[in-house]
Amino acid sequence: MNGQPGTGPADGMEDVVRRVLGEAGRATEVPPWSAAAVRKRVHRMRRRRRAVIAVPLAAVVAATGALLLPGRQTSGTEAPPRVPARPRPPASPSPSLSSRPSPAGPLVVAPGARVALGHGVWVTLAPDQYCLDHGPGSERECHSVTGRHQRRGSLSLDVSDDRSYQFLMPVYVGPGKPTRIVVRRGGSPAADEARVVTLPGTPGFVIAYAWRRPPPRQDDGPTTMTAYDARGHVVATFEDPF
Amino acid sequence: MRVEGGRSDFESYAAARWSGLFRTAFLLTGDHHEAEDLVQATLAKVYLGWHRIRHLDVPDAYVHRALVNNNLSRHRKRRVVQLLTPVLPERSREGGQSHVEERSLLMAALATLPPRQRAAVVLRYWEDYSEHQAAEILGCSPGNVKSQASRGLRKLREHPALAGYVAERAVRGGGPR
Repeated sequence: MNGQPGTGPADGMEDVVRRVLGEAGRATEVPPWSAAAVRKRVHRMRRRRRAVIAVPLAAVVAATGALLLPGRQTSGTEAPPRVPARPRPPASPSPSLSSRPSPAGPLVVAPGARVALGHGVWVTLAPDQYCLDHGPGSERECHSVTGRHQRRGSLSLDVSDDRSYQFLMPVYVGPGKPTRIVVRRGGSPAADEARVVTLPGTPGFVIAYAWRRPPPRQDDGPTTMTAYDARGHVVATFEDPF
Repeated sequence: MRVEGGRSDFESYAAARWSGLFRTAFLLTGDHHEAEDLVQATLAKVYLGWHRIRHLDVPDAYVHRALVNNNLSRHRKRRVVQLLTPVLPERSREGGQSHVEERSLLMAALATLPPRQRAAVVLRYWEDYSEHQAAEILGCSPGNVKSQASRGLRKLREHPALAGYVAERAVRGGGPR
């Protein structure tokens, strides 16, 4: 309860919602469980994963061939080069959408400084939280680091996307000082290097960010991440099938 | 399916959880087909990681987290569709709402909440998860769950479909205290 009239559970809204949700949930007709339907999806997902891995490999082979044969001309029968989907125009200077490692080192910022991450997204770090916002008029979304359900010394990943871009935000919580975090999604051999943003010293957490094009499929396989310190030692790893 | 010793184990687990997951998915999506699709897709992903998930202390929390995250991910990809869908049912002005009408009002109002608020409301008031449990599922702090659920309730109260209903209950003194 926050004490404001009409904004807390005091007027019974909490109980009304609890009761009506309970009724709606219980009244819902549940279709029968089908192990076969889930099995079919599992097979489909495995096929997609294999396809996702196979396409970039084919591209590497084609590119290697082109390098070995510099005088080769593209004929009309050959597939045209893949033109990447146009990303949403950036609202501020932004990192490019790519899978190439970012040459930039960690960005050390003062507490409370608002940092543009590109594509109209900003972050502000404080000793106990980080906040994301999407410019004037948008709601700030703050995430506590101290109250976060994340084991010390571990990595987590927030992902948001739409049709044109995908925003990856790894968060490391612990005593280490990662200076680079590499993200691999969808079983793809291509890696996204997320740029680390940190407070000075040893703040006990760092965030990082990367933009990439969304994977071609929704069921894009497991995500793995590795955080490295300045000497290249692994600080933390992450693997999640979701 | 090659997870050693895991298939029958997984199928027993999934069969036992199917109804509960489906009901939660329905409250998150408001659509039977989408709910079924969401739960099946989630369970398929769970299967792929089952060798690891089955050893967790609380696999249910993990599976709920997967369900909610899959739904949030779908929402992000369907933002345009979302803008086209909210249609409010005509509300009776006669008073004395039936339970069916209450449910349809609630579902219409729920459909207007941003996905994370909706998830927070469903986890807190349908699943009866504590703020800490819901935070674990949503991958945020308990304070964030509290504010999302509170904002969700406020929006539900102010929603045209439910505002009159809540006021009516207050006048009749029928609202729970």
